[in-house]
Amino acid sequence: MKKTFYLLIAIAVAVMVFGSSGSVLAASSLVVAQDVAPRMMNPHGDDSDAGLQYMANFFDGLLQRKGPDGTLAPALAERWERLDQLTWKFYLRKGVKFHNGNPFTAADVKFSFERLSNPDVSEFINTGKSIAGVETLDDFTVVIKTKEPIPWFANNMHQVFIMDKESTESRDPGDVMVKPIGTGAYKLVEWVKGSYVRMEANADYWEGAAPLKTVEIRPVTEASTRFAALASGQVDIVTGVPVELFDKIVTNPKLDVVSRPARRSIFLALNNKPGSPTADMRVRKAMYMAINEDEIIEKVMRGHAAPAAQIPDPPTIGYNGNIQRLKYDPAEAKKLLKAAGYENGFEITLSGPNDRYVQDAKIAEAVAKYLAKVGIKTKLDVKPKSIFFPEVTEGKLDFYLIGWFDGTFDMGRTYFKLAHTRDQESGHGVFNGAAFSDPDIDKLLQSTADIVNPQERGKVLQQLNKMAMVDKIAWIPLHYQEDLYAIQKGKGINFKPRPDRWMVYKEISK
Amino acid sequence: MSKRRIKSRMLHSFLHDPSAIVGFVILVLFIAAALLAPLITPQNPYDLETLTLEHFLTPPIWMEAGQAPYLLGTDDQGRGIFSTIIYGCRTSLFVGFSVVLIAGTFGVIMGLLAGYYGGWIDAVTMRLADTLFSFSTTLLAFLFLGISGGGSILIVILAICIAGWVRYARTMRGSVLEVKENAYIMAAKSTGAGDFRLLVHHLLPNAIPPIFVVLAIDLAVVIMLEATLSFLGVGVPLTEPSLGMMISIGKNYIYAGMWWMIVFPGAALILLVIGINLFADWLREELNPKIQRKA
Repeated sequence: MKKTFYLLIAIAVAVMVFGSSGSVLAASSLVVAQDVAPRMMNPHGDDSDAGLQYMANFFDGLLQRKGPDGTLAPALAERWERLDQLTWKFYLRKGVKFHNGNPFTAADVKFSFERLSNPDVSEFINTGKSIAGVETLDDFTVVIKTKEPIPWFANNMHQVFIMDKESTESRDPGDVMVKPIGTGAYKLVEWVKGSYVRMEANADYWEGAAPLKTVEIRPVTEASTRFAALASGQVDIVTGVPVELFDKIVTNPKLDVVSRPARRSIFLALNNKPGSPTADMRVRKAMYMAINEDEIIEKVMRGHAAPAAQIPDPPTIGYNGNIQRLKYDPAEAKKLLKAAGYENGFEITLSGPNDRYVQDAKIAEAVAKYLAKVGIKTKLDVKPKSIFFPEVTEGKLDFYLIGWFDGTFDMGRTYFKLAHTRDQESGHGVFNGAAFSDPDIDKLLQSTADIVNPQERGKVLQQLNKMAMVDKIAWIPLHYQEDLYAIQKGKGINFKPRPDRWMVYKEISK
Repeated sequence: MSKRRIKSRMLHSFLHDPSAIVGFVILVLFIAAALLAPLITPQNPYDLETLTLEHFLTPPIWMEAGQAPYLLGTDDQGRGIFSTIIYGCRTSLFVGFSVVLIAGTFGVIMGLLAGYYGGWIDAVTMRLADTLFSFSTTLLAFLFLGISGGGSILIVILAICIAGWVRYARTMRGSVLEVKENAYIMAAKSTGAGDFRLLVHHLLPNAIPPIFVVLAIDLAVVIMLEATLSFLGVGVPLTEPSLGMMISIGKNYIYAGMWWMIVFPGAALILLVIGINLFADWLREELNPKIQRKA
């Protein structure tokens, strides 16, 4: 009896001692409230930025994008070259070890790339299918051949993560889904789905151990809960600060807001099926001119967005600075509708997600209002992203709001996914959810596939961009988002947001 | 006791029960406001053609930045809170009464048949009822809305009805079983009255009083349920007014200090539900012979 009592006291003391030693370590630990939760720990199973940004901490790609500018830099490959239109050669880094101690070699690269085309474990099917073969010349040289020329192939190598061949094959597939074994700067300590992801710095990291020893990420999807966690001092950084709370945080002496113009543009996609009102160029133009984007930015986005006239952002190859927004002119829009034979308007359904982009549902509501004022009766169909995105990839929608940015900084890749006529076989137009189709755009786009020289590419892509935005009004562009983060002031947190919005913890210090 | 005497006794007790009067007045006011919405609101907050973002996030009129005609301020889409609440109550009461009517009618018929015929009809109906009863109504409605895709008020009504009829069916069955044993039923039977005549002319009118109590309580429950579903984003569509949706929008602005977007719709919902419950309480005491009344 007495023994148990002393034992209990001993445990209590131990807890107190270790508990307080935890706060000594706190100097190099960070707690983050993220607006998105990881779906899995399989780096190929989720191709959304929401998931990739978690994986980027546990795994490395052949290349990486360095914050805060997103420049392409070596990672597991020290250098690379394009041997011809179809062939890429990567020289791998030596002496890199996976978290389980296995050495990193060319066999792991071959294994990882071949895994991409397995639909059971990969959402990178398109990338996987575009590869003709992976050849290992020796343990540290890999040659990858693509089926067709892919000018942006290397630009994509920061999001194809390399897995350990041995442990991935020997482990149960379920285990692979929840326990990441990579070469990354952080090792997973514990993942409790819906609660937190804990990671600790990999002491043997090839770039040197990361400054933050431990990181805890709490996925909190509810914006006001995230803010409450920050305001009460429970977390150090929150991502996805809601614009309606921005003014409140700015005036809070304990908090700092970090913002950066985002690469992502928000736009409306619409079909051009023969016979539908939106097949008429005048109607497309009228809808564009009916929307008061300046008011959306001022009132819905609370000033935290910049008007867009096209899909790609300025650093992207193919961005065309000469494209201007059509001016807001509801009177002219009404005239155009009348000329097109829709004096009394028509009915259309605007779809969109309500939990993906900043103020997404609110923007859709505002758009419905503007269209109603020129006589177009707009029904709203906003829903959670888990329901909305499958509808886009199935091509079931007529008119919807969506956002986009291209991690490869190459508009050609974007257009093959968004603008090209839907084609199951080649995987083109997979995000062309309104089944927009234009032979001129398809033809010009296909002609860019063989152009390697970035300047040459830029010229043709700019021409294509102008054709899509000005001549065909393939989409109605709205704005570029602004990414907003809030951090605790006075804790010495050194945090610079990345253009792709990934949270890469080796780049943060405290 | 003649019917007229029952009526006069009920009126008497109603007039001497302040909480019943308060409840009744609240309910009548809400119903009147909902019916007259276009006449008494300064703005139709769901007419997309006239709605603008110009006066968005305006505080209530008595605050410094307040603006006429937005009595209780506006929300982030420029809808006046006062007008939206009135239109929202319209939806609440429409859904409430529709469900009570549809689920009530169906439930009463099922309960009547189960209680009167017994046997397999009773067994099947009541097992089905037990099964539905073992799930929460919210969950069942959620499930149905998820499968059907939702998107209209009618679907919301249907979703709530799916489990909503059970309470009526059980109450009616119990009541019928009790009434069935009465001598006058036997008498009617012995004079050769058919099943239909017995059911409609004798059992239904005599067994139905407890249903009115269930109905009154259920109205409040359904209104709360609609608000809950709309709050969670599966209820009425974004372009239709709803108190639940207003509260859901308002909660994003609490930390921004814009309290009027959540406080007023919340208060309206509570007031409406309290009003109905006060009235329902009185009705229950009045119609339930088991509760001894003091006076």
